[in-house]
Amino acid sequence: MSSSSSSKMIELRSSDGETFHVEETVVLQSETIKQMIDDDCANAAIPLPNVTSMTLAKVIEYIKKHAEKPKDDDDKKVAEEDLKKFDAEFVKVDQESMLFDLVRAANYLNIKSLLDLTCQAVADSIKDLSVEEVRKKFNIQNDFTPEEEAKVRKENAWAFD
Amino acid sequence: MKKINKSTFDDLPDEIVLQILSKLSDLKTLCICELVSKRVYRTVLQVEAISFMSVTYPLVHPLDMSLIISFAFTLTESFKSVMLSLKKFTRVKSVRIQLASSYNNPLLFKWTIKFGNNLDSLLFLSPNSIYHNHVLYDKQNSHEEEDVDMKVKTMFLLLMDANISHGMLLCCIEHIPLLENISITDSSKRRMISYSGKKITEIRNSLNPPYETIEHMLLTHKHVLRNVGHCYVPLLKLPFSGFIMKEVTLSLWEREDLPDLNSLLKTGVLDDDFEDEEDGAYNEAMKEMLKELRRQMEMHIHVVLITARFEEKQPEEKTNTDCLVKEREKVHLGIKVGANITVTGVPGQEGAEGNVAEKKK
Repeated sequence: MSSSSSSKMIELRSSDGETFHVEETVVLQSETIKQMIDDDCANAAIPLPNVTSMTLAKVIEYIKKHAEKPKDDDDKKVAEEDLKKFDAEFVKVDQESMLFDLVRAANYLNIKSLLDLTCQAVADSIKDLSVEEVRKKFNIQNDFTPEEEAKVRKENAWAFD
Repeated sequence: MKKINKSTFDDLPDEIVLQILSKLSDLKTLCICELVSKRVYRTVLQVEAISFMSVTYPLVHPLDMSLIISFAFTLTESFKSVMLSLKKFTRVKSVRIQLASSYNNPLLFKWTIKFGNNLDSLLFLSPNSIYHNHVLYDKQNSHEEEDVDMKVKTMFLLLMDANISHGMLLCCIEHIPLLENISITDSSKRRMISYSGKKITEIRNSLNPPYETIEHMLLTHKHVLRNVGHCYVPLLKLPFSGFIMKEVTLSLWEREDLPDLNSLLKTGVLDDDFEDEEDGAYNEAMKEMLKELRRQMEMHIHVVLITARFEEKQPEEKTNTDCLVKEREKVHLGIKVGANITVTGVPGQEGAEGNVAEKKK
């Protein structure tokens, strides 16, 4: 609400007990936290039992970057390009599980742009894979019986040419 | 309890899995996902927006009817199997059909169709060159001497393409109950076909089902379009979009028994769905040229495909639109191709080139 609150710090606590201090203006990108602040529940550290410190650090890196305001119009173009590059780099994570952690955190914290970005990254990693490759990549158990699998395969025969 | 620091795909809630799968949108990829597991199968079928690539028949040169028909058959067969897959996605609202371009020639043109239960009209517009504004040169046909030949061949293929596009659209509208928007695009962006919302409902209400089979729908050409007329202007200025087109040909084909209410010639009503500035300019050009065609037909000027030579230096008369430079002198009758298209020699370039700058003032 008030413009003078830009320096107000909010304390976040990860599932493994680590605390992070983030400016309120930055953390407002999370609808979940915004709601807590609006409801006046943010006087003490906000516990985030679903988010590990490793994931939370990544999320904070993201929302900090996305909170940067360009000074003028020239700067705006540069900033947009810069942000695109940042996003592309951001989702290049070593482990699939990290990406899923980020998806879940973005969902829990309700940060729409981050959820979009990470879901897109997961989707992109599925493209051009075979069924077996998708299962292997995401460690998904095939629970179809051979008959069921054959049936679905037959229905979509054209897609497996 | 699962270890908290090792997220897997299985940990993601259903709505997130759906959100991820929705971003795939490509039907082939979605079909592959169906096989991954029962949970993914259930979830993927809730996707609401789907696009797919369809096979295309290449431009056959020289025209070979039997080859074209066999391609049309292949396309129909493949579309049939695609529809079977697509029909399982019961929540689909948006469909985008992508075709590789079947017109691999340098001709500048765009086309669109109007349809209900039947294919009503086909409209083809081809300028020799297009300018974004008075100064900027944008695009030009590179093989001007081949234009006429190429335009005739292209139009011939278009007639079939229009029928197939119509069949695909009807199939989707009939078999996808929640459909809200549908478009058919091709890589060269020459086809301007996109329907949404109310128009889809209207078409659905006018549908005359049941179609026994999809082939029936795709391959019955009960209503062959007939050529209504061609019209040509050497210079077309488009006041709304600011574009300028030179040596513009418009060709209109309509169903024989089309009621006046639905006729493009009679109503001039063209949909305003376009994706970018250039499509907007083409849309405007089509509207202007339709007016011109109507005017010519009322005056009983029968213009064959390309008829005019631009002779006079500068027309005195400025119409309210000021966008049509109307001078038609010599009508050359040339080879007759098929039943409906008559072709003449290529119009002279003289005059047109200098006029843009002069007229700008």
